[in-house]
Amino acid sequence: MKNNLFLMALVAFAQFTFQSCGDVENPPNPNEEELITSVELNFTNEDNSSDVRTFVFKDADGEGGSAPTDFDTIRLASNSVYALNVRFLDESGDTPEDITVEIAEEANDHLVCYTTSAGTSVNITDEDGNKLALGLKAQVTTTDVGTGTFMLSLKHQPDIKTGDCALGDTDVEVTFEMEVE
Amino acid sequence: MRKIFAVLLLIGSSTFTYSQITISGVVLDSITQEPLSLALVSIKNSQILTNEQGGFSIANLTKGLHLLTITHIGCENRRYQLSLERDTTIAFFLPHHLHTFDEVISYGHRNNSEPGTHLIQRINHSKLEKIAAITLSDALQESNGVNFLKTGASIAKPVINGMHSNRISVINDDSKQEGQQWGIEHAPEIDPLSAGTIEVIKGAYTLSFGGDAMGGIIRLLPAPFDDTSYTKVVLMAKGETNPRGGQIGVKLENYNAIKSWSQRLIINAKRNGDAKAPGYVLSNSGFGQLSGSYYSLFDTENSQISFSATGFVQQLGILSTSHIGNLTDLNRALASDTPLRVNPFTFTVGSPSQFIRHYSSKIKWSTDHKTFGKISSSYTIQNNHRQEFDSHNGGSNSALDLNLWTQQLNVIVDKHLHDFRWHYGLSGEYQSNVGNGRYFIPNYFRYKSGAFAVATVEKEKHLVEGGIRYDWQLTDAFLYENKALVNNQLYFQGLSANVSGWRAVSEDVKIHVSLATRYRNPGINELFSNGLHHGSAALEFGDIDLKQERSYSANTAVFYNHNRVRIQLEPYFYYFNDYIYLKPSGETQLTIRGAFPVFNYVQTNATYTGTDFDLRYRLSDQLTAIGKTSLILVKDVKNKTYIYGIPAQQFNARIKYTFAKMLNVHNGHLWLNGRYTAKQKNVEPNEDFADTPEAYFLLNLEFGGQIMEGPLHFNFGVRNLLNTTYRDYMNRYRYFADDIGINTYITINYKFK
Repeated sequence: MKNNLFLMALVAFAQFTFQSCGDVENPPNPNEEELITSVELNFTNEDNSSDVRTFVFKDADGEGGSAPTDFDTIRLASNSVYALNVRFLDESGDTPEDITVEIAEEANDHLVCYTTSAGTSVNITDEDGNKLALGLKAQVTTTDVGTGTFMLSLKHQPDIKTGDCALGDTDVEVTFEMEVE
Repeated sequence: MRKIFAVLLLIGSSTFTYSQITISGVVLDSITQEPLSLALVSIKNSQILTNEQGGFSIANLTKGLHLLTITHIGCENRRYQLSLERDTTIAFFLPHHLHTFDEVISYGHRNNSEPGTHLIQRINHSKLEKIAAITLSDALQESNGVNFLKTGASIAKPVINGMHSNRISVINDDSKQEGQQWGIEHAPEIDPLSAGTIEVIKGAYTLSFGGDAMGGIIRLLPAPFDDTSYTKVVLMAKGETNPRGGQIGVKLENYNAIKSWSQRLIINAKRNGDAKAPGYVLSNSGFGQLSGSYYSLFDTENSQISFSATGFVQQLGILSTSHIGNLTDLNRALASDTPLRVNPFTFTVGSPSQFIRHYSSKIKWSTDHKTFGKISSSYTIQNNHRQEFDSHNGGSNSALDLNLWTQQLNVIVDKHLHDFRWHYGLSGEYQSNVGNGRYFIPNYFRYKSGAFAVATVEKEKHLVEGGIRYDWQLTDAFLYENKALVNNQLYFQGLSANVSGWRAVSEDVKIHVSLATRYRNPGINELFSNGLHHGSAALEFGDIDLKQERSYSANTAVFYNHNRVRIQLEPYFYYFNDYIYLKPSGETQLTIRGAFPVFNYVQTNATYTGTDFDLRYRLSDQLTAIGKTSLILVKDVKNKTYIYGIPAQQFNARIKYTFAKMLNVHNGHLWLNGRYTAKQKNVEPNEDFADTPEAYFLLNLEFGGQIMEGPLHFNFGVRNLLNTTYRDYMNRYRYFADDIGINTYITINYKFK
């Protein structure tokens, strides 16, 4: 601290007198906050229950920091019908946490929306307490062979949910590449 | 403290009488020495207007103490305590000339009691009361070169020479107001009614308050008290239509001459609902505010002790449509001409919102020492607690919570010796910041100390002033990096210096020059931002290796004041070494919420070139035309680019009619004001989310005065008279919604005495 006596005296005085203004030295650990780091899409072929495909987006250190570690391309069979199960996870800590449970509990405030390229259609099959679509479960129907995108977004819509995707805050928005084989 | 600035000169005395005394005299302009006719002179129950030669005479007075009051349009009322023993003739010099234009703004006049009166614009309390300055931006609207960044109806940040936030300081008496000032949507937490006198200071004198106020300083001082014992109650109220709501303020003031004790209590409450743009409601833009202050002063023969406490609590809605989750939301908002969320008008503040509390307390002691001169010392403690809520968790838990404690110690010595003034002092500051919720800036301790000295030589026709200041700062920050708690200690020190002066070239022309070098330590957000700026769809990254930013500046000012014309021309030039700013990187980063544009805090070399211009012309005794302009150009000279986020060029024209009496309105005014804000063209292509807004023109109108020379003053006005649809480049809401439409307001000010 060079030789600034006055500043040193001030530091000493301040530390002696005012240590009680809150716990400066122990900030909250941002890793302990609730965070969605991963999306897991689980497709089960409705005609062939052994055809199960799982695709993942994972960015364990959250927004900023390093780039996502997993960003799968969705590959589905053509002219098939799949049951889709979506899971949202917090994998920032040592043990992964399933956020889907909380979303299901607050179903009236949440909506999972899907936007897909032509050829593939998504029908939401679950509902919230107000009989509005929720989107954690859906039926995905593919047609001909081709490539495109599959966008999933999780909307937080407290007290404003109408089923419209344009409303609310976006908690998750991931655009997967998709190949229909 | 209680000196009457007008010079009172006893010209002569004559004939001895027993009981019936006549006072006669002349009222003159203190600067031009010209007689002031139609000034109202009151003593006891007699009132008389001065004649063409400024003369008056009042007979049949008794021996003893009398209170004489002089009222003249464009002047403050002057009160003189006279002890009459015999027939007396007196010349009264009213500083009328300064007030020719009614705007009570003085530029470093000789009679200022403060040292180093280099570049000070002062707006005094009677002016503030008269315009019923309900916000800081109202109060400073007449000053030259101070503009405001406005976000919604409630957030206004001062801008001087194109600079704001960390490059401007707001000083309460002698210590800096400390809040989370780095945010463009964080306004200074000040109760506007508590500001008695507002000064805008540039030049060497600013070194008394810190070295980092590159653009200048806005200093708030308590209003002086009157000379004789009194109790005064002033009621101030405002009602307005857009945003619908109102404000009520009470000021209680008491001076006890026997105990030499003055006290003032101010309480101010404000509540406004959603504002309206032409065509739709700006949903969730309402706010509520409760603020106030207590000030107590013991003023004895050669020492003064004062105590002050202030409080400011504000709940502030954030335009709901402006709070966006990701770029898709932003693009959807940009593509839509009207906001995506428009609800019916309400007074209720929903989420997202901010809840801000600022409390401060100050003890100040000053004494006149025979050898050292005037010694002032003060201790200030401030607490600033900012909570931001998003719509995410339903507004119950704050998403961002920053609690800032600041303690400041100042000792200032001020020695006058004939024409020489010597002004020096020490300051120390201790600050701690504790955050909760999501990370935005780290927890930290910050220790600051500084020493300064300013020497001034003041002669009749010129003033030269030189000052230096040295500051030390240690920041001790605690944050998580890669899941581990780390402690960063950053040490900064540096020298600021300023030489300034003015010279009266002739009776009418005065020229100021100020040359300075100052530095600013990188702010806590500039060093440590790391991640998503929620609500604004940007990833912002600080840089712990940022160096100090240093400015070299030349400010000049030319004042011309002759008969009907007053001109103030204030060109400036700043060169910044290692200028810190938030630069769009042009890249996006993929996150689970989609891709976000990345902004980095970077350093470059930059220049600010600009001028403020103020021209006033008295078309007649009652009619004044005022033109004001602020021009600015900011360049990154290293990369040869423009810098993002600089105010656009502004042009202001006002025609003002003042009158002594019309119907039952006395000392009235009527003005029409046109403000043209040009399109900000000095931007880099494709850097911003949206094109810069088009130029716009706003028309404002106000009528006001005093009812029957009584205790009631009023103002009635209309802002955005034409209900123009516009968006302003410096308003963060511009991406999402139009600015505020027509607003009609009425303010009243009632004095009980």
